[in-house]
Amino acid sequence: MKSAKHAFLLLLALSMILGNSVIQAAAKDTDTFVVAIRAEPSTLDPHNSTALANFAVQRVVYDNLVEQNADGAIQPALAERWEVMDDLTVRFYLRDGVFFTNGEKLTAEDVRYSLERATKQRGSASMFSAFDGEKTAVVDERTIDIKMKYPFAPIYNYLASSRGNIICKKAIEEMGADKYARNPVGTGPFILEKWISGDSLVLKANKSYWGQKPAYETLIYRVITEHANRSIELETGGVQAIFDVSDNDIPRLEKNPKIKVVQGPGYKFSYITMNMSIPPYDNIKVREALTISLNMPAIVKAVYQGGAKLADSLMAPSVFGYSKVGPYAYDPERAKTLLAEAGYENGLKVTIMTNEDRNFINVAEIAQNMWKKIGVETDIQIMEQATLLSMAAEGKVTMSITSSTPTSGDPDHALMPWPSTYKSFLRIDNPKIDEFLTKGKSTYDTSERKKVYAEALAYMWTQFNMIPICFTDVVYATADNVENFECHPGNTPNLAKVTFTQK
Amino acid sequence: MHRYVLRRVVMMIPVLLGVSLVIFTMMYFTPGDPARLILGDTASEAEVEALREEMGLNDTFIVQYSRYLKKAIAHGDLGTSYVTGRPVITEIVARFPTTMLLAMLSVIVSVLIGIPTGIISATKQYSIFDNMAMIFALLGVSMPNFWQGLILIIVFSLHLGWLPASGFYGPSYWILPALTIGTGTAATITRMTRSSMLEVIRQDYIRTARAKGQSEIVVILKHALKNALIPIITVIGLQFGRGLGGAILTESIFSIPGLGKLMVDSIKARNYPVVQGGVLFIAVMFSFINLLVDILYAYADPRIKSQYRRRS
Repeated sequence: MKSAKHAFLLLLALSMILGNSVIQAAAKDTDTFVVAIRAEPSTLDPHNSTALANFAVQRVVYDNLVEQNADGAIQPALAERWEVMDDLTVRFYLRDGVFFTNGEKLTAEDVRYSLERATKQRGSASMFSAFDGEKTAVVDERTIDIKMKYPFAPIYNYLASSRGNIICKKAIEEMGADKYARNPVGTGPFILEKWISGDSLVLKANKSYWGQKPAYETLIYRVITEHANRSIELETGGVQAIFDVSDNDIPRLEKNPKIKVVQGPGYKFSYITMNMSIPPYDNIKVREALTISLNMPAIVKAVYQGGAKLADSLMAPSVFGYSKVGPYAYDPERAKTLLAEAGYENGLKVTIMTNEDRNFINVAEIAQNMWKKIGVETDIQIMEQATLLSMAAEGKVTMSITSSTPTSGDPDHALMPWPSTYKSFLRIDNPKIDEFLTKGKSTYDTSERKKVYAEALAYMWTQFNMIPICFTDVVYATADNVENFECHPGNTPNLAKVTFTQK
Repeated sequence: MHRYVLRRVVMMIPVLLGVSLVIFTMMYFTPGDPARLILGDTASEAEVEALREEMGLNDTFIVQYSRYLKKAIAHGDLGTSYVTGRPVITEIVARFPTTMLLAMLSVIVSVLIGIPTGIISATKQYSIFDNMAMIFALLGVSMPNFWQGLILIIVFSLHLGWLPASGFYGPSYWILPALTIGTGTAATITRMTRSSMLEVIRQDYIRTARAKGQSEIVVILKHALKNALIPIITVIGLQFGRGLGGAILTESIFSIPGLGKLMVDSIKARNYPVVQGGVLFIAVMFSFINLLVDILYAYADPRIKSQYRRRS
């Protein structure tokens, strides 16, 4: 019995020690800023990265050639200036005296290497498919000619996106991609110091940062998946800021004098999809009937409680080239007539599949009731995102509710589900839309480009290819002593700008 | 005794093979394509197909399973995580200490509550205390962990502000999750202790001990409790084994970076290798804890020890 007791005590002590080694105290001093995000980054390799959680951390670890300010305008970052050489070439001039956090000097070769890699790696290749990685060439140590395969106007927005992060060639070649993914070397305002699996990422300020240095020493991203817990953790002082505040929590947090809710327009657009390759959704009358029989303003108000705005276009107002083309008028009587004209006077059965997003389920349930009034019976199937995505890829999803967040803020990115080459939920095959989108992406002149998208959106709106729901605001919340928390529409605020006072 | 332990360890091999086959089959037939999930819905079908090929997902079930077994047995390689690209073993080992600590803390909580309550209940059978304890035990068993966890968070974190709601950084962070798991287990231990003690205190040797004039405390703790321990050890061992698998819901609610949360996240991401490796790891842990419990029996009950001796 005695030795069993000893064994138990030994085991206990061992586990305490082991436990403590993964435990770090989230210091509440003036030099540490703790922020809660909703998922753990899967990697910090920008070219194998597809999740918003990764982008949030990449934002402070890396820099890009150019960056977007809060209004979405492009401004210099690692490149001081640039000039368009011809339709397929843009020459970038790099800032002098920029160093990676391993001490290596940033050169045009690092930029070339990063972009070429972006065209090849699985997380970035589809987005960078217009870039010609092979022909992109170093002119001298601080000059590079970036080549495109075809005239490509979104080039600046894509270069400013998370996949356009500039990585250190020497570091990744020495370490190998797997190790680099968790030990990133960038030129950004923070350096990743410690990554505690499943729990948090600890970053230290980059003392030799070329731009405005952070006003504090340590930045900790804590992973708290449950949205209710993120709010509670902020309310109890465990963190100083949280991402992705749940709509349910906004009213409570707004009432709390010790907390500030930072809310602004985002890139996220939610919509109901219809599979154009399957009857009856190939019939525009059915699509219109399903669309105008929904009282969307009421749905958005009931479900999102002020956290989103009724969609009046097919991409969010913060995306370049947005123009207001809607909303659709609610007209259940006309919907009935349209259904009858389409041959469904005796009613119609539809199946809507959605992931476990509570808002989407609520939208589906309200829509089910509204469609019932025009004789449409709805079967709602709720499944995991993984199942939904693979069914969509096989063309088996008839209707769904989904959202897209074009983090680059470019219309070409925002309208990705529309061209005939996109095989997922919508499966639109409309040559006129293809033509608009091709023209939009190849028009460099910004005012001309805006016009193309205005025309495109107006036409697309008449096709009833999707039922727009809403544009979701990005909502962050911070302690009341936190200032300069950027309300970034793509959910990747630059936390290096944050300042705070001691309470 | 040694031969007995050895035999038990060898018997674990078919168990683990069975577990690996079952979990592999389950993951294989779960709808959802990891390649599609990794690339997101904007990737083309060709890109997804290329990745599926690269990941070996297009091979038949037999090919995939035998490749998995071969790697696992020959090199101890459980594959790499689809999400992070790190070896599965690294992922599991990084999470295990946290889960181990949580399991131990909750067992301590449950033993501290369960055994004394059970003893008092048994010695004062049908008293008010006994009835209250049994109501408490019934509640403890019936309350789902996730609900209890949320209630504790609302009361102690949100309203009272005494304890943190998420994370696992130190003693103040350990209390709520350990209570959440511990009280549920305590209820089981209370009931087990009570019934086991009731059986023992009616035995003749207890009467003899009392007749010898020994104090009640010595009678209960030394003579009765020690003899009532076997079923209680079994329950504690099982609960501890279960805890080592990661208290899935509790870890998710409190954002504790343990095995349970790793499993939940991996199932959602169709991260097959991590799920398979995790389940296998849990099975190994469970088998070892069971073995440990069996060996502890021998210490608690000399009759069992002599049985081992006779057999070997």
